[in-house]
Amino acid sequence: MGATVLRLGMEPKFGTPQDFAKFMADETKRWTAVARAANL
Amino acid sequence: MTGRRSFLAAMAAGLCVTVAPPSIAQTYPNRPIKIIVPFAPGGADVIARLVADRLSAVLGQPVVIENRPGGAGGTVGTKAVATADPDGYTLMLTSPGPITVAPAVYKNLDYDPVKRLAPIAMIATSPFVLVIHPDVPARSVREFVAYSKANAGKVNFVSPGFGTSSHLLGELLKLRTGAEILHVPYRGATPAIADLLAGQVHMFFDNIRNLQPFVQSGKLRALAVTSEVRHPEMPELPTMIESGIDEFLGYYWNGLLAPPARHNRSSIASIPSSMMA
Repeated sequence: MGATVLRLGMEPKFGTPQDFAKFMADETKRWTAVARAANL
Repeated sequence: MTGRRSFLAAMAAGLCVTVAPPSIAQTYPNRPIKIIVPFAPGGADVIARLVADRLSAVLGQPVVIENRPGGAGGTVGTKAVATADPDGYTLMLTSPGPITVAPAVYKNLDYDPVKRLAPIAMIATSPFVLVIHPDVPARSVREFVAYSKANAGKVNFVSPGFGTSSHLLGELLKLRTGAEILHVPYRGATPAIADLLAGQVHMFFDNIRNLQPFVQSGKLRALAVTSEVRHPEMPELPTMIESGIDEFLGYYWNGLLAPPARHNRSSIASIPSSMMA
């Protein structure tokens, strides 16, 4: 499956649920800061 | 961590801790599993089909994909998953918009991604690529920003919708450079790309998978990628950071989530051992 993902131009990223949760939390924080700065 | 074993281990671990109470775990799965993709066909469901095939092979049950587009940035389909029975038979394959971007831009979002959706596994990531129509006279991000300032009110950027990653990246570019670009939201990436190809609009951040064919054919001009390092598929293309915009990063991603189990989230015992093979 990883090879297929690569062929689609993406990078396989099969981490743990905990890794995924932390990534989502960090991303939400980052985009919230951008949205507030842009007054969206 | 890549490859089949690591994927299966991640999926098994995710399913174990997130989706079903013990009574279900004894027999899970004993009927088809549904993966909701909160977008129109195309895009994220390419990855969804890969995941469905893998899960079906290791779990021994059909795994069907249901596209549930609608609402802003995939929020309608996402709410459907967030309010679904947390029995392990409704999963979600999503991209960033309804999970990590929507909470930032919708004050009245009627689901909480953190409380109502449990992460199972990240599947894949990709940087975004900044592309422009070839008629725009810019060969670099700096030139594009300068062009926008010299033509204030006339240069725009498109997105698949308000509150999507593409939209926020455009806003970030404005904040960091003072670019004078107007946001034009579409209903999905496909019509946005069509109008960009036709020269009706000027600039777009989208994932490399969607845009690479048009860049390679010369129908769009790529200026930079939003990753920390250059992308192996486009090694000639600088990063936004190399283009002079510090810490300008952004990643498209696809991941699998599910409604969290109401009971004893850690005690599932009988995920098929083949998941770990």
